[in-house]
Amino acid sequence: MTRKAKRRLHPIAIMAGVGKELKNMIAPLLVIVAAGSRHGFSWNDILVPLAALIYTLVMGVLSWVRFTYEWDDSCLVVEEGVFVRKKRSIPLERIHGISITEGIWQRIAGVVQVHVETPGNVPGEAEVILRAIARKEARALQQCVERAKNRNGHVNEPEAAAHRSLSPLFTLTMKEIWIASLTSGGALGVVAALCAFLSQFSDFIPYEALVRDIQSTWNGHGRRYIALLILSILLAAYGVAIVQNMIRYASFVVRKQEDTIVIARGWLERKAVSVPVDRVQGVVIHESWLRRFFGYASVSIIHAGGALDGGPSGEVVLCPLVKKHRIVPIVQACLPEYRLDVPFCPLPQRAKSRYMLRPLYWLTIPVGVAAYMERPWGAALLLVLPLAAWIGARRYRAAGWALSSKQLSLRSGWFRRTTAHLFKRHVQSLEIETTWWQRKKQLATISASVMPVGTYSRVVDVDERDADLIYRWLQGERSNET
Amino acid sequence: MLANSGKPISEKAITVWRWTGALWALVSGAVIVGMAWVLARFHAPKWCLGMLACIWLIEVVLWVGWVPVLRQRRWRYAIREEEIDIQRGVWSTKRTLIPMTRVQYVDVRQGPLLKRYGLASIAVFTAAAAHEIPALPADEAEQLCRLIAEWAKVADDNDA
Repeated sequence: MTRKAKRRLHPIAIMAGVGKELKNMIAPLLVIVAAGSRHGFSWNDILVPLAALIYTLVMGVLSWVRFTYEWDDSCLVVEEGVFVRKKRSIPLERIHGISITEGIWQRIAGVVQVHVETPGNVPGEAEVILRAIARKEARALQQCVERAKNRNGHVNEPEAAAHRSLSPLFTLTMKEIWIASLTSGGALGVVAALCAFLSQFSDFIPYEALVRDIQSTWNGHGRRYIALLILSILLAAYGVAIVQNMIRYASFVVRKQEDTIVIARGWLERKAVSVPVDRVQGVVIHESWLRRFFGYASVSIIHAGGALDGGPSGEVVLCPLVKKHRIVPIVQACLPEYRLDVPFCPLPQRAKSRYMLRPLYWLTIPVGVAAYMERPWGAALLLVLPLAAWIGARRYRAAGWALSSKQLSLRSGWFRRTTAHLFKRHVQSLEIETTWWQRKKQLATISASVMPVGTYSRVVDVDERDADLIYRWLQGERSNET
Repeated sequence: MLANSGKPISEKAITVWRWTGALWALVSGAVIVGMAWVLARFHAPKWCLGMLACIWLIEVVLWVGWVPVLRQRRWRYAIREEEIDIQRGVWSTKRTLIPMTRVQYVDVRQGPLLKRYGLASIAVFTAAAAHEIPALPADEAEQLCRLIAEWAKVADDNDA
């Protein structure tokens, strides 16, 4: 492909950009207006928001005018900046991943938003967003990137292209979307967002008076009402989270195109994330307590780029919800190198008491104090302690590790059991930690970190000899001989 | 248990850590005096102030007297052609293995205190984290840095 002329985005990008800016501005602006108009309305109060609005609009148009992009066989060149011009050229084979989103604005104009993940250490710097380009162009860019990667001697088997499967490897049924939304713990996130939103208004909502009111109601006979209020807020947040997740997971499809895994999802906002297989750093299986009860789990892949999925950096959800027995074939089809059905080694028996005692270290004093303060009935709180010990025992049962010549698998947790499968060539460093107590029992904590900064998995209280074994496994051949 | 291999870091590290410990003791001393002042204003009982003073004394003894020595004694590092092996920790012993192929780049760092004693630290960066070997003699640090860079390159070539 020859170098195209410098091109601009579709004009709908202005609306999409301005809309996003406005969404961020709306809460502070509301505060300003509301705070100003506390003592009667005057036109001066509107001035600041109006100025902000006009500024955003003008900047939106200007930055659209100044934003150009082009690409050829080797490079993607993006120029941007209203006052300070910034020109960035990105070698195509360096691009970590591309995700394609269709927001509401983009859908109106029939275009897509392309999110290009590039190498870089600073979050936010390491990405280029082409806010509105034609779908055909987006596909062409994707193909160019793939071609550039293949040319540079990356994994490329001709057969793979021959029998490439475009049929979906994994989809979610309506029922599964429903279950996934019900069981994913998004409610806390909604409550946090609500709190963050309310804290913007602390200037003119008399929180202190409110707290005083609540206290007096609490001390009176209003406990029931407050409990009801809190319960209903939580339920509402839960409902919002369910709806959010349903929109998020609607029409979820995983496909494999040659050496790229393409994950498409979303209802109001279609999103397609493509992850090259050779950028995958590991496979993580999360089984929350609730989902395990129904025989379900969720599968994510650790990805070297940033947060393509909008979730935590480095993890892309491959299957939000899947029956356990389907995991192995699906992952096998996506990432044939990984072996998930490895036999896990349990932890030694002497670790059990440590697992059971550990939650008690920090629970005993607060629970004891609370039980003492609310004396007659608070004593029931003491039941928390055996429960914590029991959970500790479950955690002990859940933890384990497995090792093959190429792959290390670590498993831990009970509420949310996490199994990580990591390839030897992706393990960036391995750490064995022994505290004084552990040394007495000949136990050790192992943790292995993989590529995106801060991604690691660990298992506490592995037998010391097993830890040594894993340590030697990562050592080079030469040091094994000595 | 893995064999306790590797070289110790410079003994001058103890002095450097004693100085940093002393500086921190000054800072926390100021905080504790502030707390004592506030407590005194609210007519706190005498034993509260005594306890604060005790905490501060224990901290000074630990961070100036005891911990630096132990820390220097526990520190071991081994840089081999295929990996970097780091061992450290007072309360919990940590042992870290970094395959040479994963090393992205190496820094030599030297703060004012380290410089005063002719020392320098090495920081090894992988794509996942940074690992530091503190308080080596400056010229040795320089050498090691170059050596790691060299080996990391060789290892990378073999890997490709």
